[in-house]
Amino acid sequence: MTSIEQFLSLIHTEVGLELAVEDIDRGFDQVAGWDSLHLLTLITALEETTGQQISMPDVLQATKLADIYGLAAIS
Amino acid sequence: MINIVAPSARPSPYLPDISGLARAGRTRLFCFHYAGGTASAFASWRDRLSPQIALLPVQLPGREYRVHDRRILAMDRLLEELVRDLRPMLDAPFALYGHSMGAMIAYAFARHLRDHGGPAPSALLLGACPPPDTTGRSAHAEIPDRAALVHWMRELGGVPDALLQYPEWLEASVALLRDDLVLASTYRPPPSGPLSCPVHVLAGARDPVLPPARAGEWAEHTTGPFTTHTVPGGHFFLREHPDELVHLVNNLLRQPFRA
Repeated sequence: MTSIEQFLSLIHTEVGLELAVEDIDRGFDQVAGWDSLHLLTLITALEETTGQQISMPDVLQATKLADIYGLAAIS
Repeated sequence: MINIVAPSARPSPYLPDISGLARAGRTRLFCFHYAGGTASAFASWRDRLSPQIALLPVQLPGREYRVHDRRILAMDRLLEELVRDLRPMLDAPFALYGHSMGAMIAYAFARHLRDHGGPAPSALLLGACPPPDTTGRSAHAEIPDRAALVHWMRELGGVPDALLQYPEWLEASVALLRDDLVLASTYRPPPSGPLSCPVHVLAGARDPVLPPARAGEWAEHTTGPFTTHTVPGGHFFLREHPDELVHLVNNLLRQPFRA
């Protein structure tokens, strides 16, 4: 995962939400259409896309999509 | 635009975004999520609610942006914090929606306000939750063990199969759910009589937790107008059928109740 655009594209494809860059810095509850189950879908897709496991303890501490992007970018 | 936010209303960990309070003439709809859930459960309502309703999803501690806050297991303590933080926002017409555990919290909050001289909601909407135990039994939490809890939640649709691939995530979800169930199941309403505000109970057509046939059991909890509604879906109709649900919520809040 190399760019935020790719990250947003993945969210669109896997979760069905068309988000803007600024949305990833909002709390999950502030992202229109977000559901906590979407996070599970997104993590699964990120791991398949990157071929890397994402740290679960870090996922469980995430408060916004930017946190998840950060984890995917360093994985 | 006239800003009518009460001078004492401040963003709170329970409700950090109070921009919804800023426009006059809207009903403030405080929403309480289900056990193991988060305030984002109501994110899909944002674009569906009538412009005359301000969406205010309440986030309990221990999840999402409050993941570092200690979870609360006792309703009395939660009510103290909710009153402290939300009471200043109740200076305009407001309503409460709660789903499952959230319904118990919304009901307890309405009672607590009434019992302490606070304002009454224009409507109390209770989804997917049986009424509290009023048989006088002790408030001891009888929560199933881990395996039974996971099985139960999977049957209800609250644990997707994909979660089983992530044991740490599953364990964290179960721990959160368990604490929330303790909070909801140990609540006993004080003997101060029923509410008088309108109460509307929403039951999922396939929900084994609150089957539509049991929705009427809430009637004894208000002396005011009371209605029940069956909506499509199971226990999590909130997620399954947001269009139908929000359409109903818009209708229930749009007009004064006519018996």
